[in-house]
Amino acid sequence: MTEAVFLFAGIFLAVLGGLAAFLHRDGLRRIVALNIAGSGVFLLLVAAPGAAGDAVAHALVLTGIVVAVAVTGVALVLLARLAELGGRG
Amino acid sequence: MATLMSAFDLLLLVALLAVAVAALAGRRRFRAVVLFVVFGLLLALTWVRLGAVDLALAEAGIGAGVTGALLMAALDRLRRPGIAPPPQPPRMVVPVVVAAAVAAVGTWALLGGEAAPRPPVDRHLGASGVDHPVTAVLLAFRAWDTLLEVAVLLAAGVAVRAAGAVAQPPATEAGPLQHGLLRLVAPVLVVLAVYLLWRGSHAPGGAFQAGALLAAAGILIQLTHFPGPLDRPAPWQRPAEVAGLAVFAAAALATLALSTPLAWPAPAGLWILAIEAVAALSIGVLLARLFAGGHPLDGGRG
Repeated sequence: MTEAVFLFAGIFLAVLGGLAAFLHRDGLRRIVALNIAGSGVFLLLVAAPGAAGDAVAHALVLTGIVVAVAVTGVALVLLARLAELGGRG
Repeated sequence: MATLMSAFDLLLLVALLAVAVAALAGRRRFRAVVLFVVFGLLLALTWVRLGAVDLALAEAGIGAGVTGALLMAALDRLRRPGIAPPPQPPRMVVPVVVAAAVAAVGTWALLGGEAAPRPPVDRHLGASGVDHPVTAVLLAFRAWDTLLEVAVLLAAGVAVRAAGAVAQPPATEAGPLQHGLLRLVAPVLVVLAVYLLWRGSHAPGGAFQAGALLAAAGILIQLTHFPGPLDRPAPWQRPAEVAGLAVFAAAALATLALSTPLAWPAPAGLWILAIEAVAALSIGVLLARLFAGGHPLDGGRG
C-alpha cells in the first residue's frame, strides 16, 4: 500500500512539473517547475518495485541531484542576464 | 507501529504534493521559491522513509539548500529596477487533474509489472575498498559516471563565470549578530563536512554531502560579507574549482597505465578517500561559485 503511494507521488510530481514548465511564461517559475519534475523522476526511480535499498538507484539519483543543481545554477544566471539585457525574464 | 508509520508516510506525501502544487500555482514568485525550499525539506524526509539516507542528506543540502539560495539570488537580480515584471501565472487546475490521472494509471501499471532485477552490489562490496554500497557504486563500480558528474559541475562553474559580471549586489550591512552567528556556524559546517566525508566509506555520507556543507559555509560568508576565504577574489579559488576533476582524471589515467581504467589498486579505500577529499573541496567551491556568479568573487572581471 505504502509503495503505491510513493509511486503515485513520483509520477504525479513528474507529470505536474513537466506540464507547469510548459504553461508558465515566467522563466523563474519554469525552472522551479523543472526541478519539481526532476524530483518526481528521482522519487519514481527509488520507489520503483524492486528498487528498495538498491545502491545503484541511490547513486544514480544522487548524481541526478547534483547535476540538477548545476543546470539550475546556469539556467538562473542566463535568465537574470537575459532580463538585465532587456529580454523577457 | 507499522500502521502509525504508514499514516505518517501518507501525511508526508500529501504534504509534499500539496506544497508542490502550491509552489507551482501561486501568484507570487517569492512564495513559489520559499515553498520550493519547503518541498525540498519534505522530500528529504521522504528519502529517509525510503531508506535512502544519502539522498536525504544531499536533498537537504543541495536540493533544498543550495538550489533555494540560487533561486533567491536570481529573484533578487530579477527584482531590480528596469526589469520587466513577470507575466501572470497560468491556472493549474487542469494540470493537477491530468497529473493525478496519469499517476493513478501509472501506479497501477507499475505495481502489476515485474520487479526489475537487482544489481549484485552487496555480493561484490568487498572488492570496492569501502563498506558503504552507495559510495562503492559512486567511486568504484560506476566511478566513470561520477568523474563526468564532477566535470558537469566544473562546466557549470565555467558557464556561470562566462555569463558575465553581475551588477554589484545592493550593499547590505551585516550586523554583529550575523557575524557572531557565522563565527559559530562556519567552523561547525567545516568540521561536519570532514566528518561526512570520512563517514562515506562505511555509512551514508561522502564527497557530495560534504561539498554541500562547504558551499553552505561559503554562501553564508558571501551573504554577510564576512572577511574570509570566500568573500573576495583569491588566487586559490580557480585551482580549487579544477582540482577535483584534475585529481580524479589523473587517478583514472594512473589506473589505465597500471591495469584497467578506474579499477583502484589496493588499498582501494585510500584512493577513494583521496579523490573524494579533493572532489568535496571542488564541489564546495563550485556550488558557492554558482551562487556568486561572475562577481564579486572575481572582482568584477566575470
